[in-house]
Amino acid sequence: MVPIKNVFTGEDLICPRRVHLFYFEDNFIVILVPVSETLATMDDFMSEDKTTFIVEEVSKIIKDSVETVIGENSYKHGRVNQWTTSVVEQCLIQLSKLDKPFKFIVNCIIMQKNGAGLQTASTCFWDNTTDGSCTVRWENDTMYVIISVFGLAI
Amino acid sequence: MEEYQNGSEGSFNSEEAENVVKEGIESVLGGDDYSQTHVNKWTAAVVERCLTQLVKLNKPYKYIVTCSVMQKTGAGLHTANSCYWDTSMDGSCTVRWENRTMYCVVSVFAVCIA
Repeated sequence: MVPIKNVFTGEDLICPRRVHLFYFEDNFIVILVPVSETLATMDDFMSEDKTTFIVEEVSKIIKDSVETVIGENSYKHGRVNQWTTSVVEQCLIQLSKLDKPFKFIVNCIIMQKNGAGLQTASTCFWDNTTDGSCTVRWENDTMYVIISVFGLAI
Repeated sequence: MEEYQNGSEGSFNSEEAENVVKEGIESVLGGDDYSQTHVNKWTAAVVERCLTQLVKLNKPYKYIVTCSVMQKTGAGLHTANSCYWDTSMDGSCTVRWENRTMYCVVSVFAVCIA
């Protein structure tokens, strides 16, 4: 069949992308979608969740890690070392399971509740559009725990 | 020969970063005593100072600088960090500083831009 004319180049309403309509003799209409545009649309749709730093997701991972490792334990000088290591390790394992193209830095501070003042600050020189951070403050009766996760896109 | 040179230039130079950070802390906290009203300003100033000096080194890195200042009252403080990155190119450096009334811990993480 020989196309009479490329009548219409417009938008597909179901899945937005540019389409081409060709009218043929015998009233056949063929809709052609450029392959590259189709793939690009699907990739864009799928990749947004896979390449952004989602704060809520990371926050949940951190809270779960702290609860699992420390829970209701009281501050003990002999065990704190092991706790900080376990918390950061747990967080990092769960974060790497997300399978995102990110490098992660996890920082954990545990302080005994003694009336002392503690101030922490952080600043970052990165790409604002792709990178992100999440800080969680947690406490129980005898200690404060502050965990920061920084995610940098590769 | 070429490979050796590339290795030393490509990886993170932690001594250089340590010097930058020590200077940064000294200039901000110097001879002050812990003061609850000022500590907020101090931590912000320390991280800002360290970051601007690190950026001036003009290296292809993204930086994260964290600073903790704690009053000396006998309380215990523990910090730990763990990183999921490229161990050949990325690096970190932690500086512990103290004076009569407070402790200051500053960590710098440098992640290479590909």
